[in-house]
Amino acid sequence: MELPRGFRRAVPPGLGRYGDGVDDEIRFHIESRAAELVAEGMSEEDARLRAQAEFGDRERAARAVRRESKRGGGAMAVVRWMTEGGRDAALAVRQLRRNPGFALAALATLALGIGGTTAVFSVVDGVLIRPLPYPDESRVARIWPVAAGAEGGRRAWSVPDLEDWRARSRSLSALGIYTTSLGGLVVPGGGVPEEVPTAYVTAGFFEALGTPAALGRTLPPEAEEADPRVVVLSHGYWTRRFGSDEAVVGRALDTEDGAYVIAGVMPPGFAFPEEETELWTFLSNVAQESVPWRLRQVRVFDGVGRIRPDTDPATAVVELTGVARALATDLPDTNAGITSVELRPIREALVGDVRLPLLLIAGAVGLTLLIACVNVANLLLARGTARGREFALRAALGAGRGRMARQLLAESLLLGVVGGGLGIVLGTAMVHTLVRVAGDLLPRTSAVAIDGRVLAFAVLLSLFTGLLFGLLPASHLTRTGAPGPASGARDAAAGSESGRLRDALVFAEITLAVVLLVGGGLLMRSFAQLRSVDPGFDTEGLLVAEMIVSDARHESGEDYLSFRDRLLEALEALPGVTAASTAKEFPTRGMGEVWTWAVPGDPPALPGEERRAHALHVHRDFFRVMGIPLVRGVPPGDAPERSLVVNERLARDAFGSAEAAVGSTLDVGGAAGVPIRAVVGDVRHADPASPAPPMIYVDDRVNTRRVFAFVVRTSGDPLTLVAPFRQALVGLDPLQPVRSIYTARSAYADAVAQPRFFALLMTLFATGSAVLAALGIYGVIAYSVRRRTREIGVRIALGADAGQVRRMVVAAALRPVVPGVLLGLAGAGALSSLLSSLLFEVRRLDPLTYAAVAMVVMAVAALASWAPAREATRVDPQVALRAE
Amino acid sequence: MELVQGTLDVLVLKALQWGPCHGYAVSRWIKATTRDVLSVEEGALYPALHRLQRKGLVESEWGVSENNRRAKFYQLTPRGRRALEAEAATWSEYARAVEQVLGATGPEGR
Repeated sequence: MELPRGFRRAVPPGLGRYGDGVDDEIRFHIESRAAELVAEGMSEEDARLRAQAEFGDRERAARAVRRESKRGGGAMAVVRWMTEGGRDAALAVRQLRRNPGFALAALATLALGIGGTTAVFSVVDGVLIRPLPYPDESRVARIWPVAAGAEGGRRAWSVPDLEDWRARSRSLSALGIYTTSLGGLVVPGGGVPEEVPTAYVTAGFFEALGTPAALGRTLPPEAEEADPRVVVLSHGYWTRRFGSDEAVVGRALDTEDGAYVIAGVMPPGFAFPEEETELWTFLSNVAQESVPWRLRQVRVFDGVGRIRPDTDPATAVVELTGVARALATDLPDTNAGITSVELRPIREALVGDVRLPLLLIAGAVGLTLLIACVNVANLLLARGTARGREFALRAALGAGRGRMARQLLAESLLLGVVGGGLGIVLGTAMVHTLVRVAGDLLPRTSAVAIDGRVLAFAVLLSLFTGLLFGLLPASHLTRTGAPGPASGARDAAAGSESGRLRDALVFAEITLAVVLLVGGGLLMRSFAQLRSVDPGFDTEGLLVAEMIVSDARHESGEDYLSFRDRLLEALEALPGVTAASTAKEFPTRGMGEVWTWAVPGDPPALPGEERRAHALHVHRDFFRVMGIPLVRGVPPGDAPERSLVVNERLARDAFGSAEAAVGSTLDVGGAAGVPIRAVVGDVRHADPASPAPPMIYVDDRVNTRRVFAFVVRTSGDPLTLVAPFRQALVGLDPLQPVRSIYTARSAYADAVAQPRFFALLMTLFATGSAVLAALGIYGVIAYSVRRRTREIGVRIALGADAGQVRRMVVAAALRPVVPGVLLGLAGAGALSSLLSSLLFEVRRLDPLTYAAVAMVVMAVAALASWAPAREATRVDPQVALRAE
Repeated sequence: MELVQGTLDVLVLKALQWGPCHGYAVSRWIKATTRDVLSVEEGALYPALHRLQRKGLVESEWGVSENNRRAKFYQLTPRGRRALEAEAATWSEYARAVEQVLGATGPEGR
């Protein structure tokens, strides 16, 4: 590219092209000298020789000129670099278009690797890395009062406790409590009333979190004094229900309880305490008859606080422990035993549980990307060796090694960038799928997005990947490109060194794939163990519907029960329904209430160390409909029973056995000497990995609540009952909302959803990398068979049979595989300690899993080399011997 | 005679004082003007020309020679002219000083 004349005048001298045409210059010089000599009488031949001799070493001069032109800095270097870079890129594109098969394979591999890594990074970034919407978030913490003793642990808050703590503590600038389990505000929605997930909070809640409202204001203490009937909307609810209307502040939100004034709207991304929370309002709006929250013993709330700027968390814990102790002394009847405190920074509290599995997934996808890089590097090596002649020629023409290596790198960078572009598209799709599938399982999925940060990461990753898999082939191929005619023998020699390098890469791939497969296998086995845990009831064919009977139209406990009974009657009349019943909450979703109990006659427990169990209010047919076996005792009769039913766990804890429990009595929930009528089987709660908790079942005719979970047993698919259920409900009370309706099976699946999700993801990456490794092996073996065609032809001509040839090929294939598998198993064993906290009833060095992975990998490798091996035996010796 | 190191550059600059030349012409002129006393090692000529170009003292352009062949012509830039004057002045001083030393008749002033 000759720079135009005007440009050269404009540009400072020194800039512009030179170093080119030096061969022409030298030729002209020598020819001019020869012409002179001819003019003096010499023959042309002699003149030419003489002129050349006089000039001296042309090569050296040419190289000296080129060296000169390489020196020089600043703008000149940039221009040169740009023009050469442009040429490299154009050449690279041409090369790729000439080899579409290779380009496609490489690009597909890279797109998958980079896409997967980008997707996982986006999730990890959103969930673990991005800052939470709480200013100075390190000062915000979940706080629990903690009881000492055998049954110690975290306790919940009550409002009077909150007030005392707030008054006495010095290290918190704000403290507030909240709950989401009181049922949401019911908003009539033009047809079906909707129960909107609501958080009831006290003053101090929003001050502790610190996030300002996007519109209007939050719920500061002054608001509560003025008029507590205010509500704050979540961003999602504001968008959905009010169409992002900016004039919404000050308008009224109609609910079943009356009108609430909209005080403000929170910014997007604010989702505390739960992702589903859409409304916040003051706890003081809840009537005492509903929940007597003015009582100190009504401890059902969670707490969040903000540490003062001048205090550090450790000091705060010490100070708050002192407050707890002081309260325990001052209020021995109610606070004895609650003598310390637990502080957990908000980030930890929100994402701590998923940090390890997510990071493991990130590691897995990184390894998969590495395997993808190794594959592409192998592809490049294989293709590059075929271009050996091209490199030899260029080296003979004076191309420097650096120059050729740079051009190869340009090719791999191009692959990396284009593969990365495809990967970003793929990754975006993957992220959307991940969020949809895992939306409930992971906290903060609202913060997961493909945005500038993630894109920048993807671009950097593509460039880095391109360099990574390009460096090795570039340095290796240009090293073996020596000037001179390329001969078959030399090619073979270079081939064997390339062959060793390719073997090393296969070895690396196998190792990584084995590590991933072991990880995936262990997690899958753990998940299978979780699933095989007996939940304690029959999960099939069971529909569950949760509702809170509205107290607008029913006043007393009898009213609630009569409503419940009428609905049960209507349900049992539905086609396909075999039976229906209720409990206050459904076991895998709710734990019931927490009551203290004691065996009459035992020495009284120290305050704060009382034994605790979960208490569930149930309909008399509950156990039958749920399929919970009656272990001992009598089933409930028609008359309301004052007596209790307990589960096996409680029976063992209290009396040593189920037999001993029946007929004995318990002091429970304030009442003394309540007889135990029966013992039923244990039921697992939300986490199948934990043992069943002790349960007390209370006849809800004696002790009534207005919260019901209807369980309906059907002979067919429970989902077909959803519409009939709603219809039956509407027939009784059209304004009664249903909180949620689901099948027991999905509820129980939800309990294991998180481990399932991670196990599946890990297995997905493991399988992907195994496939990649298999493809890599196939490619390497196929290629080396083709190169050894001549050798194989000779062998066959010398009498080797097909079997021998096949064995030879497969043996060569497996040479790097076996050590790879061994190293992979060792590596997996070493790394498995990272997994051990996630494994349920599976040893981290579980021999079955490791052996299975080893066998699978060996089998896959053998399979991948079988096709090329078969090809090899079909070589016609005559053709092979003639081939080059 | 072999050229003392560093003189090649100033000779080349001088050769270009009267207008553009190609590389062969420069080498011929130097040989002719010194009456064959100084010979330019041809292998060093072209690197020198390119070096001077990099430094911005000469610029080049492809053209056609007296016998209609393609050749690269070099010419001085304004900076090159200034450099030539400076170098020439320095050389004269240097040569005078060396002459004085070599023409000394006795050990005075040691």
